[in-house]
Amino acid sequence: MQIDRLVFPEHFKTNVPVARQIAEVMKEGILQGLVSPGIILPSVRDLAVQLKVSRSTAARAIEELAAQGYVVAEMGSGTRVAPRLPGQLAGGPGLGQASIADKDAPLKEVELSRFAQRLVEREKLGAISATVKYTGPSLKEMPLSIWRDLIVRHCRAGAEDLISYSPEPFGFPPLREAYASYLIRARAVKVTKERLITFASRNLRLDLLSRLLLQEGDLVAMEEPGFAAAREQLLAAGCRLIPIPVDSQGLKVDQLDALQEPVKLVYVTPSHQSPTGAVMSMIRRRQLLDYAARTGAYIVEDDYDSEFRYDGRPLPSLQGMDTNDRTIYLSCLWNVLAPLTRLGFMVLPSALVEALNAAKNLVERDVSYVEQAAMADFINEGHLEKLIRRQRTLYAARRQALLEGLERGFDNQIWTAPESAGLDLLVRFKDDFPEVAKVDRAILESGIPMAGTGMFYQGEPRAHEYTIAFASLEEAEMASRLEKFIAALKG
Amino acid sequence: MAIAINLEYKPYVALYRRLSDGLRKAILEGRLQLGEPMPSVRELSESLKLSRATVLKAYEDLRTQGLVVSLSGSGTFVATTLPGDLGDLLQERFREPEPRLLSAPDLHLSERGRQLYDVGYGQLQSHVHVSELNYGGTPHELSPAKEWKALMLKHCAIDQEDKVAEMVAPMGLMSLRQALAQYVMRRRSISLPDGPESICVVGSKQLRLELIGRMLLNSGDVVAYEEPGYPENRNTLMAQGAVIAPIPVDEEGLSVKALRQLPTPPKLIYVTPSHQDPLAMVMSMPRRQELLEYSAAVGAFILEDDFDSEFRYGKPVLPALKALDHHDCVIYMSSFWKVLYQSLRLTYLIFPRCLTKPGQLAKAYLERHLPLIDQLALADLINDGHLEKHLKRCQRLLAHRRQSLILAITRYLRDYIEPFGEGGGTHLILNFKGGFSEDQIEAAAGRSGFVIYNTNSYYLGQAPEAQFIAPFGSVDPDTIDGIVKSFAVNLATGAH
Repeated sequence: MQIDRLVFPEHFKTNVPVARQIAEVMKEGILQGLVSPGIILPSVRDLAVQLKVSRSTAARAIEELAAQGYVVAEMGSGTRVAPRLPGQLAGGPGLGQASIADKDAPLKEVELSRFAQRLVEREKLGAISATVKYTGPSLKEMPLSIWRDLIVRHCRAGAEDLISYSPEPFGFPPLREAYASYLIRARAVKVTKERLITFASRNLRLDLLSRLLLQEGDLVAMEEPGFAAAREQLLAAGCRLIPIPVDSQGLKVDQLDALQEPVKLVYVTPSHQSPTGAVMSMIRRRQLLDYAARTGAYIVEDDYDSEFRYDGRPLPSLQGMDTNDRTIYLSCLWNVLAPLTRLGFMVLPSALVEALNAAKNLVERDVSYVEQAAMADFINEGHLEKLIRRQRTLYAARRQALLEGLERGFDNQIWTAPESAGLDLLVRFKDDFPEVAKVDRAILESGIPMAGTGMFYQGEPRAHEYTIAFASLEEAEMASRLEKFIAALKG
Repeated sequence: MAIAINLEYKPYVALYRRLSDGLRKAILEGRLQLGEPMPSVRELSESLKLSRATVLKAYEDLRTQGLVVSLSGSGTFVATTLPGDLGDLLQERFREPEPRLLSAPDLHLSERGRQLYDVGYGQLQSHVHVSELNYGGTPHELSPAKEWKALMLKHCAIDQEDKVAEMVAPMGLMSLRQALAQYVMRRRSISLPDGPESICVVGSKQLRLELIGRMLLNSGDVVAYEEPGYPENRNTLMAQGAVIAPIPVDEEGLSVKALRQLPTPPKLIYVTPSHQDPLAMVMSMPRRQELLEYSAAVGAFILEDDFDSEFRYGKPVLPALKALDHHDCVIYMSSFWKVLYQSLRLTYLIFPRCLTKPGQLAKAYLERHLPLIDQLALADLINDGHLEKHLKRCQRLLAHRRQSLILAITRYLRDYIEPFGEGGGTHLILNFKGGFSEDQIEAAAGRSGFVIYNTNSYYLGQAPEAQFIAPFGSVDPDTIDGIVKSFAVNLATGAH
């Protein structure tokens, strides 16, 4: 009997129905050809005896196989393995041949969309990757117990609001209200909840904007150097990017003005330029707003880590100064609350509200209710600002310690960005600094959270320029890694 | 001191919070002046008919926000300077900007932006709100909310600094993808040669369609779509510029014969084989083979939406198309929205091997991070068997409710509707006969409390007259008989 070739387990698992386990073994045997098509199977009674299971279990196993088309029951003559098995396609490869089960079969050629082709190209160049490096704060500093309490509050069993709440494309209204008032308090953003949108995926913010406002080939101005992830998003959207240099006052708006053709959109990080750390001066801000008003360009202000300034008052947002309603403001809590929440926010000019509402409804309407409700309370009860205050004190000390360590180690061979803000420190070494390969080795050996700024440049990167992520490492740990780094450089 | 506080009704917000919101608004609008005393707790509790405890809690709330200060012995005052270095700008709050809605051409949307706007706007306009029956979902009283809460709490105590790197994987947490790989093997006979590698967790329903469409389609590409078919998924593809070719369904499912007659073969074919949405038939085994052969021959991808394969009454469960996919052309997707509603929005996709790499890139572009705690909890829910236990209980209850609805319909509506076939899912399809207009039917349904809605939005072309969906997930077997009876009476009398 071919059925004897099948190996049934001695003891069946307890968490899966026994009938299913029997059926799976038989199916596997049929698929592998241990039992040939057309063969008559033992009767239910024999099968039950052989496997020491009840007849009804054996019958259920056979029924399941019959339902799935692996066996056919014929009146009077018993049950046979189906002559043509499910998955066996006429003219195609049969079972056990070049099927999906074949790991080594060459992948077939696929014609991807232009968008996906651009992604594949950028990946080949090493500019993007499907894996993400974690860059958020340290879990140790997360208010886990508060967050837990809020989850308890909103995760009630049988809560009716979970059922009757109809998701709005812009997000849970109480959260939008809470975040709007936070943005007004902390960043002087001009906002009401009607213009504030919650995103579960922060990447969708730029994606939806570029789809709504830009055709493939449209001109977009971007800071040079500038935030790499944003640049890659705009490139994938098919925009033509014009790099505009930044100096200590931020984006050089006169270079933007000098372009022959006005751009459709300008991407800036005015409160703490990524990666140089420059804060855009008042004069430049006015120039930029004036440019937008004159040309009809939109400004995207990415306020990604404005929470962290260690001296003096924060400058208000660019959006808050805009009297012409041309600025789209992006904000998120990743740097404060990762990985507990991934939510991102966008404040829109009122003219775009309706269009974005329609668009968001199509791509991301359902965002976890619990996460949004918990976040609303987290803000309203003052936890957010308390947390930020605590982090600010902590990070200021870490930054100071790093500066002192760098000064001791490199003396006057190093230039550090003067702006006291953000979570990374930009440093430049003098020309006689060791070559990249050696520095990279030292970084790897010492574990210092330091990286070259190459990816921030669309054009030629600047030599000997690095950022050091100081925020999530304790002072002593950073000091010891820095020491190792210096030793490795000399060795 | 009289102060008008607007306690806006918000079912999801605690009373004290609504009070503190109202007071905050009054402060920001200048109705309560900086440095001036706040109304006393007793005053406020008497004038608003609220307990003192509630008022005290609201004051505490305002204190944490730095909007009021308490001086011992002399009461509570509005803060003299408002919190944040920018407090002076607070006064502008709640002053709505003048609505400045521009007419369409002034918006300067791109061509693709206009497409996105138009389709999305249409969908918002046609949205049917049927929360009474939870959009035809499963019985919510069975929702494993308690287990879910316990799991969420368990994972709120995350203390896995070393795992942080993995926590941000755009494709989802590996432990969850492993649990899903076993789950689809168990439930849907899908075996994955690359294991969990080809599974992709997606944070929201619509984003799956967005991801697939963006990866495969250029504007103008043809997508074959079931007619009738689920409107929201169709809209997301249409908004990307896809040309939708509506393909009729018969009692065996999507008509492959009609597919063959398309002048240009499609790049993508959208189907719901385990239970056609909305007509509820199961795609037969021969039809499945035929469809797979067709798409392998023309080089199209099949998008298999396996949205509620679990619920089936009397008919055997057939393996997913993905389980029969020997040409590497099926993209499989499924979700958990019928299990945990708003609490859990995670969904997943399975890529064919040839799309795994570009799929991962597109995913990392569209959505980099997924909710961490939800993922950990969902992996447990699956591995512990809670999920399948829940589905089994639902199935039993649904069968009962379905039966009582069918009974009532056969009893009272025999003369008004065409006989309906078998089928799975969580609703019945009612085709009315006898010349009733949709308005008449809807009016009668409204008067009798019979929750049904018409299928018009499911059709891209002309919808049949008077075809309705009757969800039974929340039907009460004790009252449904009376409701349907009253509906029949209303229909008979209302028509004349």
